Formats: sequence, structure tokens, C-alpha cells
Amino acid sequence: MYYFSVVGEELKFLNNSDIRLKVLVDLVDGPLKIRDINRKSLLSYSSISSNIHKLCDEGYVEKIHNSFQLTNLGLIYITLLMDLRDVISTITDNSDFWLDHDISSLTIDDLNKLSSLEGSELIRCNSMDIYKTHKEFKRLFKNSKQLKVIFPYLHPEYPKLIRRLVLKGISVDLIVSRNILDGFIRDIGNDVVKKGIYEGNFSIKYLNDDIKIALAISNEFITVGLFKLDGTYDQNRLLLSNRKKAISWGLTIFDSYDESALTLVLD
Amino acid sequence: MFNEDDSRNRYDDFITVRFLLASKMRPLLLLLLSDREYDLNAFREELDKPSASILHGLKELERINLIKKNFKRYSLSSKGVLCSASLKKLFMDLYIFEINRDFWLNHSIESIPRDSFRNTYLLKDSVFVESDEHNLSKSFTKYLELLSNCGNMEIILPIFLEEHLEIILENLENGDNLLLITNEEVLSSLRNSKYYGDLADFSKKGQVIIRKVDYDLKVFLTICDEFMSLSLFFKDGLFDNSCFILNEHSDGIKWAKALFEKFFEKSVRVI
Repeated sequence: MYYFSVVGEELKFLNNSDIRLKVLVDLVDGPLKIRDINRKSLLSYSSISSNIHKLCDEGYVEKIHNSFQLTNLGLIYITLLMDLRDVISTITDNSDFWLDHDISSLTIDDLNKLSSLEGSELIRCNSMDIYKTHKEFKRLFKNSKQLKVIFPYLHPEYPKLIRRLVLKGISVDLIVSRNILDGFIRDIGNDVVKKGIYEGNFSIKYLNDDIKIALAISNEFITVGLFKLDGTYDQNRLLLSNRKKAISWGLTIFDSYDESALTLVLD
Repeated sequence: MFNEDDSRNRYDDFITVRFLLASKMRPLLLLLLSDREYDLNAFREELDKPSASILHGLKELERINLIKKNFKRYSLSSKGVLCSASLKKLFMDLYIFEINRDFWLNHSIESIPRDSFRNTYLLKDSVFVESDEHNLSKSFTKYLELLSNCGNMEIILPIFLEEHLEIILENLENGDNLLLITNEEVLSSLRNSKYYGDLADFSKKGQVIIRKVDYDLKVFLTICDEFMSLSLFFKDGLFDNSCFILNEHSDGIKWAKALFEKFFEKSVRVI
């Protein structure tokens, strides 16, 4: 509330006018004359002129010869507003995914960087393909060259997939809930788990607390699955991205879980 | 010359941003609800606003699924939690710029990668240490005092000043380490100074690393275990010795380390 009381008035000034925002966005790429802004934005000369002078008065834009350019404050404000726009567009594009799901597993830092998921694809099961998310998940796994996964639940096919990857020598780091750890090891196979750990291409850690996110990150993709508010895992929706920013967002989350996870001690 | 479709798309996405920020009521409601559930009475007590305007704001937020109502009690939807967290971050990101607008308007920020401005919420607990008419060297003295208690030092140095080097060498004699990034001009002055031999000796002992960038440095950044400080140049190219940003919290140090890392990546080791 305190920070809003300091910056709220300026944000209101900028967002009260569509034209002011348009002018700031146009100037992000460099100085422009009014006629250039007119051509880019299709706004009238008089609207541009009156608003650009207000922006100059408030310290967001400055006039250099016959052109206008962003001041430091103008550049910072519009950069951050464009970031907020990207976050909101990420949330809105996949509204179905974010709405009524448990996001308590994400920290404020993770949420703050949510624009990293911009352009993600929401894989959704439908009546013609009720296993669509599961199939997509399997397909991505098969082609991975390196994999980091957080599993909050046990599906009979996943340990088999992991087993195949570990035997192929692919690097797999796994974090699971304590209550499914034994089942996972049993289904991967004790011998394969030991072999993978011994040869250095497999690690399995566990958390005693409930995990509320399913995360798979490879060198080429990231998938995110969430729990519904009723506490059950939503098998019908999976967020998928192959963008570097999204993969790096996922790795940060994986690393934070990895820090607090306990290492499996084998006999 | 211009791609009008692309240009139009860049603006259209601002509709929700404008919806959230062109009003004072809507962000306030989202911020309050990020802490707990509220009913109308509780909102009225907190905001001291008439019920009609509160209800109007709530209905608008409910319409775009950011909040939900259950037995007269309002709470955030998960989409609302995300929006509210993003707004909070925006307000904290902008805070450091709003509390000293003149500083940011008068100084050059061209050396600071734009990405670094995306995490300025980490600087929210910073203070501006400024000289005044009663003490023109206040900021300089304060910086030297901080530097002398610094311990291990990571410094981006765009200026050559003997006072800095005297203290840095004292710290090194006490067993501290130095990772310095500078430019050719400062390096050349350093080489011609009486301090270079000592720095080279400490380097042999593994206490000093000096790296160089090939471009004009416009930031003076110091990072220690206990604080970070940032000084900038005026827009006319002159160094501002009268004001610096000081942050003595782990968040501020984290921000500075990320900035340091960006310069480090573009630097090469000299000694």
C-alpha cells in the first residue's frame, strides 16, 4: 500500500490516456518527430502534440531539436509497464490454466517473472483426446537429452520412461514427494536407480512436504502442471513452452526446490 | 516504412493494464485482497470511501475474473493473485525512481542494461546519500568510511582517485580480496601510479583480480558483504561525487551482484 501511495499518482497520469501510452511505446525505439508518431500510431497531430507536451512537463519525454525522446524516467516507466502488459497477456492468454488453480507453490519471485512464460501453449484434453496432456508429456520426454523433473504424483508410465532415459545415459534429475518416493524407485527399478546414481547421470531427491506443481524442464522445453483448488492434480491442462526465457524460469524454480529437497541415501 | 498492424498490436495489449492502473480504487482493492478476505464493511473501514464506489470497483474486478465473491466475502481468484503480485512488483520497482526523480532525470543510465531496471524492487530499501551546503564532501566521506569497513570488495571503477586506492590497499593488507572491473583509461592511470606494484603483488597472492572492459564505463559500483553503493555520471559526462545510492540489505546487494555479473561477462582479465 505504501509503495502504491508513492507511485500511484504517476501511474494514473500515464494510464489515464491511451494517447500518452501510445506515444511512450512509439518512442521506445528512439527519438521521433511528431509526424513519425502520427504515421506510426495514426493519432491526430493535435492529440499527439497536446499529450507529448504534457509528457514533457511531467519529465517523461524531452525535446531534442525537432524530435522527441524518452527521458530516463520515461524509458524506465514504459519498460516496466510493457513488462506488466506481458505478464497480464501471459495470464489472460492462458486464463483457463491460471484460474482456479493452486499457485501457492510459486514464490513472489516466480510470479514476478511470469512474463517469461509469454507465448506458452496450453495443452488441453478434449472429448476426442482425453489423454492429450499425457501423450504430449511422453512425447517430449522421449526426445530429451537432459531432464529435470518435479513429480508431485505417480503415474505408472512415468517411472518406465525415466528408466529408459537413465539406461540410455541421459541426465535425469528428479524431485518427488516423500509419499511416492518408494513407488517411484520400485517402478524405475532399484538396480537402474543405483546404476544411474553411480554413473552420475541420475539423481533422485524427495520433499517431505506436499508438492503443488508438476514441472519438467529439458534442454528444449518446459511443461508446467498445477493442482486444482479442490486439491486434486489437473490432468487436463499442461502449459508448454520451448522459449529460453521460460526454460530459465523453470530452472530457477527447480533449483529452489532442489535446495530444500533431501538426497536419497541408498543402502 | 512502419508496420501499422504490429504497431497497433503493441497498444491493444495495454487495455487491461490501463483498466487496472487508470483508477486508484481497483489497485487498492487488489492490494488489500492480497493479504486476506474482505467484506464490504471491512473495505469501507480500510479505505474510508463510500460503499457505491467500492462496490463499483469490486464489480469491475469480478467481471474480469480477478476476484470472487462468496457469502458477501470477497477474495482473489488465482488469476487475481497473479495480477496483484505483478502490480505490487511494479509499485516497488518504480519506488526508487519516484522518491528521487531529479537524480534519475539528471544522470546517465546508458551503462546500465535495461534488464537491471526490471528488478529494481530489490532496491526499495535504498537511501540516497547526498552532500549538502553544510557539508559538500558528505557523500565522499561517507563512501570512504564504508569502503574502509568493506571486507571483500567487488568494484566497477570508472574513475581514478588516490583516496580510493589507499583504502583498497589497506583492506588488502588486512587479508581482504578485490575483484575490480575498469576501463583502459583508468587502468592506464593505475599502471602509472605508485599503487600498481602493490596491486600486482596482491594479485600474485591471489587477493586481487583486475579486469577490463573496452567501452566507456558510466557506473561506479561497489559491492561488499554488508552493502552496495552506486554512483552515476551526469548527463554532460562528468562524474557526480555529490550523491550515491546506498543499500545495506541483502536484496540491494543481490541487485548489484546481478549488475556486476553483466559487466564481468563483457570484461577480460588483465592481472
